[in-house]
Amino acid sequence: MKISEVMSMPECHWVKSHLTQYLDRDPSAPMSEAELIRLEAHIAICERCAAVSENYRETSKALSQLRTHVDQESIDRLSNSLKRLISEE
Amino acid sequence: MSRAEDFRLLVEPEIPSLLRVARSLAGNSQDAEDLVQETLIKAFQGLHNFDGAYPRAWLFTILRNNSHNAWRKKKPNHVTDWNLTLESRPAFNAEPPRSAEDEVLSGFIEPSLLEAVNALSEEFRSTLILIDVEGFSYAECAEILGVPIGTIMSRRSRAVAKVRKSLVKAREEAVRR
Repeated sequence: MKISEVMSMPECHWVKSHLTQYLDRDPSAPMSEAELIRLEAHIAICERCAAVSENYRETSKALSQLRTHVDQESIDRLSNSLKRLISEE
Repeated sequence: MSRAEDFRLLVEPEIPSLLRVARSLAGNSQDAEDLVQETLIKAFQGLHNFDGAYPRAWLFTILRNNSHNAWRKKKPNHVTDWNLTLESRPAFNAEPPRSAEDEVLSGFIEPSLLEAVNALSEEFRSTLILIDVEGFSYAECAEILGVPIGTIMSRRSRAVAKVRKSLVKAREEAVRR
């Protein structure tokens, strides 16, 4: 490992701990301007963190596949239960 | 339109989402279905207390409360927040091998993804499903799970990292075969 890589490790750790917050841009958890500049500046020069950032994007995208992961029979049973429930009122 | 019909129109489209989140909380499909069933009954009974704001968050909060009340007792304890601190900071020079770090994930196989998500603790899994699959914001997720936003951010970050590592590992194993 190069000395420059060892020197940047604390910054890599900080960036990784803020990556999902950065990628999500969730309004309930905004990053400060200084944090944004710090993170983007590091990703611009650190190949490892840039790769992790890209992997996080891909992982999040892959997780959205689970939206289609449903048991239609369960849904049908619950829909019927719901109809029975409201018809009893 | 009747109160009951309003309720059906509000709730029925959410059944698939309720089932996915219930699965993440209960850990198996049968308990998840029972949990959603109980949630529908409780929500209907409590409809008169609902102010009409944020209906999804209201519904999923009932789901979470039911899960805590009825199902948690049945299960062994999973990882809880204090466990998270054990890996809050990597040891010096304890980064994973570069080959894994540099791997760009693509062409996921769903079984690997499901295995990775199922291997998470209930807290991580439910946070991930609420945010990444169901599209809730950090604030909504925090309200539903009854924890601070900071806890949600921490869980989400760690959960995504864990899933990513599992997928990288699965892909490397597939290449070796």
